[in-house]
Amino acid sequence: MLKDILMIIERDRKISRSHISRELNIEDTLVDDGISQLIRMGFILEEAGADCVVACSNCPFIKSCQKEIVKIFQISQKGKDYLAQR
Amino acid sequence: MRKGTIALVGNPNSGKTSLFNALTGANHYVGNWPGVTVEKKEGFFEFEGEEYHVVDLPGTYSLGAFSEDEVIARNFILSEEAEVIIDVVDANNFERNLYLTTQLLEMGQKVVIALNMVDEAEKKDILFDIEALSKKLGISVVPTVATKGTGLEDLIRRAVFVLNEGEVVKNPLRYDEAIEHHIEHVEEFLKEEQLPFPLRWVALKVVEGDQALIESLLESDLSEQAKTEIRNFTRYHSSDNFELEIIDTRYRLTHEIAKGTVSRPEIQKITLSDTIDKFVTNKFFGIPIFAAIMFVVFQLTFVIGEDLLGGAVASLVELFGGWLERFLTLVSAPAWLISFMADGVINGVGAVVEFVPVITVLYLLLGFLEDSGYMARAAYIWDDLMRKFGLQGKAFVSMIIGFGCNVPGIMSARTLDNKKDRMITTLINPFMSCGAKLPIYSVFIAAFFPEHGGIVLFSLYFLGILIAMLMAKLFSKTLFKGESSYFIMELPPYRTPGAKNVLRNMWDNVYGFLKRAGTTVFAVVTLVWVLAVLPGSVEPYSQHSILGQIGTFIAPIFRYAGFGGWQEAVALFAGLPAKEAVVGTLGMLYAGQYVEEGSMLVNALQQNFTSLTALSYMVMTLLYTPCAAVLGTVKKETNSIGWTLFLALYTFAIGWLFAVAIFQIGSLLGFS
Repeated sequence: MLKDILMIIERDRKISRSHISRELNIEDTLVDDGISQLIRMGFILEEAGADCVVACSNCPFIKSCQKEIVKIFQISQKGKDYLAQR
Repeated sequence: MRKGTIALVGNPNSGKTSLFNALTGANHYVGNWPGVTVEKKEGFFEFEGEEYHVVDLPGTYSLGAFSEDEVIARNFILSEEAEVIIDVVDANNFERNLYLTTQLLEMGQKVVIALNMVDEAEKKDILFDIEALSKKLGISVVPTVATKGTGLEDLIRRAVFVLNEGEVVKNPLRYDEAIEHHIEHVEEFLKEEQLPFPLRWVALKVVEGDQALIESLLESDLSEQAKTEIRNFTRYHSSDNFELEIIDTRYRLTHEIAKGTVSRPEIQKITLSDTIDKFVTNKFFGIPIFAAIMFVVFQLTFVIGEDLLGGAVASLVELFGGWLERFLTLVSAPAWLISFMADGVINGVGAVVEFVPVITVLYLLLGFLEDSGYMARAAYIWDDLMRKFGLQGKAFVSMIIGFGCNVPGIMSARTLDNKKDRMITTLINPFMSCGAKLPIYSVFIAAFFPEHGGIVLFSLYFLGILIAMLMAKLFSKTLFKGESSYFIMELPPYRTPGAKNVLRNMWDNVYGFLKRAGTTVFAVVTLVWVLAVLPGSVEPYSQHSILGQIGTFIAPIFRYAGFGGWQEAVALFAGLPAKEAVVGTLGMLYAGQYVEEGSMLVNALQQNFTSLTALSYMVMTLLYTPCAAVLGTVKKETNSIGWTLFLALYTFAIGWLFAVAIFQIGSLLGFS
């Protein structure tokens, strides 16, 4: 299942839980778990927020800076290598 | 006398606590697990004259060692204290919950499954063949509804039986040949050791690369030879993906178990989100739909913010200005103060404040789009196009943020992981039309294009995006060559925007706008006013004032763009500290010249501009050098005065070129 999820993500370049769930015929929650496992093991990297030298408490742009418009991920080198082996 | 200890384990929200409460009633107490602040619930119940101890373990999805809850649950299960485990499985999320079960079975524990919330599952047509399930797993499975007490007696009976009679638990998991080979290899060098846990489980965890267990083994009393073997094994196989293979095998097993024992409706349901996504993320329709949505946003912004509300706010500002001027005259205030308050503050800062409704409506609508989940799709559909222009889709997120303010837009470029993408995103972000430029467009649109406000506003924003992308292409071919990284975007389900989020987003922008009007714009307008009334020997606001002379000196630069007047040139430079100051400065410099019915600044603009020069002026303000805060941010982010100066100059040049092109081509075509 994890391999399939990783392959679908790589193919579609998007993460849509409902789409993956339908394609693999598994529960949405299981897709969530699978993605969490892939992130934990370092096959997918979740893009972190800005690495800032200014403390947020002193920053006038904190509200707009911390706005999360879209969650962004990247397939790590480990993930790419794994997919390439298959 | 207590007969034995039963541990309750399960996923969060599986109904484990309800089951604990149903089993123990009032006979329970709450403490903490040793050394941590995680709550420990214990209790007891009586069954057939015997008392049983029950421990409610923290809810967890797996038994790795990746969280405090997992470690507590795992350690307790592996301790000899837990004599039987009741694994609470949510029937509605059966496969997900069964993953934990596979780990319990691997641990060689006595397990009974409480298949909980079967009533809810039945309503969703999720039906179980309990007997087949029990057979496949090799353990007892009891359907329960903990909240109603259904199945509890049977569950207790089975658990007590397993506890007393010691039902044999078979581990149903076999991994592929390579992994089984490694497990056997580890078992071989550990078999003579005194292990705290079952041999196969320990061997499996070593192969899986479970750091917590490996470290505890290396710190234990194992022989040096065993420790060396463990170190060698982990070092040699560090780049193998055994962990993924092992986890995947567990998932495959859960899927296989579910396949023959659970019947449920096929997961073929196309959700509303999927249906909408078919269109809005379509390769061909995605961008036109985005354009159409943004057009509606700008049209509504102009119709509601300017036409419906803007006039009322402008009237209020003018009413207040008139009242203030009369009051100051009445109290015999000095002439300079009356001039400063009326011409400087009211016509300057007041002209900016008049556009609060436009800002309010625009950010209300953009907040609505963001919170609905649409903006994630917008970034996704732009990804391909961005890549063709030498950028990655993630840069579009920075650009969207730049619609509010370029400073956080540029700061968000930090998350791009290669220098090429970071630099290009930083250098093009100022072309995104920030909120501070909105008053400039609004006042010019009101003066020259009142019937086509939405389309003009939309065109300006799109022109900004277009030029940003063209510059990105140019930079990626010249200054910053290289490949952009591929990114993956999450498309969350659409949701009804929450009023709190949308209103907060709107307020943040309106507050920022008002704050700038009261601070930077006020300071700029004050400085401009001082320069416009000095020296005292000349007519205030005339070409002979200090400001007039500065303006006359720089105005020729803009002659080819069609707006060669000194006031317009000064206003552009006054916009460098804050873009809103362009409107404030124009408002002040035109003060008193054209007092007619309606907005004074609108009338003044109609006297000083034509439709063509107004368009050229708006494009200039869209593209030219960003404000001081943006330049400061670029300096900080690039750590380079050179790049900061480059940005300031090249954006000015681009703005000037486009303004000149619009005016010259427009004139040639006969527009005025």
